[in-house]
Amino acid sequence: MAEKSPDEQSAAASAVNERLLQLLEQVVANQAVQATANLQDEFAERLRAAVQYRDSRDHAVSPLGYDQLQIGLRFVALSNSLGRFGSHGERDVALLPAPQLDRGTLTFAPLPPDAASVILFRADGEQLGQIQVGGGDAPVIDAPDAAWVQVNDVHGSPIRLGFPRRVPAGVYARSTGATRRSDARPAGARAT
Amino acid sequence: MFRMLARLIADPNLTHPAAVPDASTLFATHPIQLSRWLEEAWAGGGIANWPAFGTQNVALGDPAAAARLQLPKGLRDDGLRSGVARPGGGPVIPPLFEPPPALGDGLILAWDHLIYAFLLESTGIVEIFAEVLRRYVVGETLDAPSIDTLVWARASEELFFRDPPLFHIGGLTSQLRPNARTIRRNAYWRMFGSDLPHPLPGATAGEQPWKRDAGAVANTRFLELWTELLRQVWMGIENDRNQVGANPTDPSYVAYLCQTLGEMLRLRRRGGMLAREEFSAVTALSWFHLTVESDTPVVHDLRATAGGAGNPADRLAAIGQRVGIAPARHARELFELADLVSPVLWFIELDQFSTPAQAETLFRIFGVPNPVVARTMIRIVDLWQSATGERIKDTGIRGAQPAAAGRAAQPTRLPAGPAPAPVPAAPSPNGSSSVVRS
Repeated sequence: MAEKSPDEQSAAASAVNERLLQLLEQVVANQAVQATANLQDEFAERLRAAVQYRDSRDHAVSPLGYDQLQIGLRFVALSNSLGRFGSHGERDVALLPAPQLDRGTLTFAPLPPDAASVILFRADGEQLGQIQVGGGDAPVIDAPDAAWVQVNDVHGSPIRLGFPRRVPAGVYARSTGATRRSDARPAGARAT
Repeated sequence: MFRMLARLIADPNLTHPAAVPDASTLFATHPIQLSRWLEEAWAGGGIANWPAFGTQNVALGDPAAAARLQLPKGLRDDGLRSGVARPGGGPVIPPLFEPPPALGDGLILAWDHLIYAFLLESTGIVEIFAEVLRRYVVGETLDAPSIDTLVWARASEELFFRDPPLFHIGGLTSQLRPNARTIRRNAYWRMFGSDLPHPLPGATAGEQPWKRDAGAVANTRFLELWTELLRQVWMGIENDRNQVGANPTDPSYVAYLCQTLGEMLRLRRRGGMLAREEFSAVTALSWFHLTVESDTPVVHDLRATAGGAGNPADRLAAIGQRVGIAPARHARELFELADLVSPVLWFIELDQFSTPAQAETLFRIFGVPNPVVARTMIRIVDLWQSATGERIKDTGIRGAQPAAAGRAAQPTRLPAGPAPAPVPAAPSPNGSSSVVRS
């Protein structure tokens, strides 16, 4: 995509400001209901455009296809699972903090900022469904059969892999309010 | 596995990539707890339990291998729990017996491919630490250990130099195969058709029972095919930006090599063979790797520190000096290779590079936002060439291949391994004369 010049960007920003000002004047002029709705639509539309522009600006089309990118993602996830998160100062992270699976409900930790969708898979690799998310969201999904999940970014490229972790139940479950035995440090023990 | 456990102590949910593995707490943990934690890790199934590979996943030779060989769940979860978990207030030394769930429970942890153990053991790390331990327990030719090192020595001896607790997954030695080192060599020979570059301590010259016992099924073509794969991948990387001239890159051939290597390795795993041996080998080697990965108490006591950015090979060399054993000359490369080659071989075994499109990920780098696989392969090529002397990047140069009929039983070796080195001054803390080991 062609870069916009600073002048063009500035002109676009001015146009947005003018439009917003008009809408605000409508609010002041007791056209509150309609203007507020318009304002919200305008905000949403501009925000979407801004996000798309931001993401497309630095995005080069990868010569690798979707399946090939998935292989790369799995490779990094396996390396992470072996305890390796890159070397020589580089950080390669593909593992999602394990979503908690409790009685069929998947609870995610906040997703990466560039997350756009979550795809749920069964153990045999069949896709169960796909939900749209935003960066930083922590979705809660009913998906009792999900064996693994994949997070894609706004370009549809796979960026994270996650394996649901069953919440321990029964005698081994830890109630959150309970005092844990180890919270009391014995004499002679030292912190590391 | 122990390196992963050290990471889990510092970062139980694997959510902080920059977390520094907590080796001190791990080495302070009682060996029976560590042994039981290994049971729990095995029960997790490792990479064989990774759903992302779908129905192709026969990583351990048989999908039921882990489940059928593990301790029964009730027994494992009741009287034989490890109690290895992170306390609410953070790790303490000595670690306590924590209520479940244990660290890693619910996470799908993988353990390394056997190649990790093979490459690391090729550095001579086991022989060096065996001698360190022997000296600590039978005499005073080393400086007196700190309590932390004493605890490490006790755990090391219990976990790797004596028979493990009965019926545990790591319990391989028996009246039928009494030597753990021979068991590992047998596994290396069968999987990679290759032997460690140093002789088995105590064995008479030419005595190689691990080869005799394996029969005629060893993968003696492994190194030949692996080197050819590296050569072809490098050719692909070199020509990735080639838009005008003839492009010798052949994704089909790369895929064929991966497929052949995968079939070769899977053949040795049929029915779950070598699964326990692999698990036992990679856990043992990861313990010693963790010992030299940072300036641990053992490294401090042996005066082998290398600083925060130091290399494990430098620490190992300094420790080797204390006990008169020099590690392999290319230990530096072998340490890094062990980490890099392990996931690549898992992927090859799982048929993840066996089509031309999949194989392209090994060398496509230009324009790819984060070409982790190709970047890994570039590093492997660099290190392999440096470690073995094979001119992988010089595509015009090929080593003469001996005729198959005349090929020796040991076709290819990694670089020279640990050799006796003069001991400069074995510490004699009690004032007696220095001990020199030839």
